[in-house]
Amino acid sequence: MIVCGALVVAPTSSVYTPQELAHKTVALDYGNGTAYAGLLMLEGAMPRDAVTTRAATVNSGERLAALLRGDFEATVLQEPWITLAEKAGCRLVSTTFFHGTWVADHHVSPEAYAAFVRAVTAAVRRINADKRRYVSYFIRDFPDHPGVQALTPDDFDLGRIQLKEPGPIPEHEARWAWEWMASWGLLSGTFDAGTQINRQVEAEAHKLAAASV
Amino acid sequence: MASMTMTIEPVRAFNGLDVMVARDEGLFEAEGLDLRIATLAPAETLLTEDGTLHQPTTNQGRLVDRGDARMFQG
Repeated sequence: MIVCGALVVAPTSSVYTPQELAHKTVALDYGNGTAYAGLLMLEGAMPRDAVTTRAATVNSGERLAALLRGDFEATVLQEPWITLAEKAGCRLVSTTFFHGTWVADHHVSPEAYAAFVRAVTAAVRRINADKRRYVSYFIRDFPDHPGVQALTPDDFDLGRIQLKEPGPIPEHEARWAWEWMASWGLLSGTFDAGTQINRQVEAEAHKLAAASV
Repeated sequence: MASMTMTIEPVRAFNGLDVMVARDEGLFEAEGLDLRIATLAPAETLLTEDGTLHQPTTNQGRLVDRGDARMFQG
């Protein structure tokens, strides 16, 4: 799955570009992919010492509500909250996409992972063949939120719904991600592909999966 | 009939639409995989707002760490 993260400001904000967020507070749910996507979007627009963030709830609906209250200048949202934010008049000042990567413990067998990959691959093909049909899942995820429940599938920008068939992790991407996080002090030590990626299980699983998809 | 079982941490559509569709449309079962989704009890859920950039209080991976799930999406 490819996750879309959007850097969002309130309708009343004077910010129209990510550069204008220099030294302004951006609320991030530290420890989650959207927070790191936020850092990536910000550091591409300003010196690192101008990036100003604070901890925020992982609950995107609560982050959107806090943004609209003026608790901070910007935050990073995913769907369906991006769509809901736009309906509320918020502006997206930057968007990015990133891989959701499955992390497995050492008990996962190649056969089980291959079955997982085959099923997910089939699902990706079904969704990509008719994205509009499947965006209702984003609405279903939040049955108790009236704003989300008021959305319809036609409200969604399908360009933000991206799915890719699963494949092996490219080592250069894993290395870059590690080194980028280390440069922020979020990880220590040097990247070692052998301890981060079990290539034997990965290769066997993808070989099994490819044989029958 | 599924012959393998695997438990994963929860997903939502934004990061796991493919998994949710595969589950709902019987695609895991068709591959012989009984896919289960574990959840953290509300009382066990850590608040990300209590963390810092360098010491986040994420819930990702916690079920895997204690052996209640085999995979999570990071």
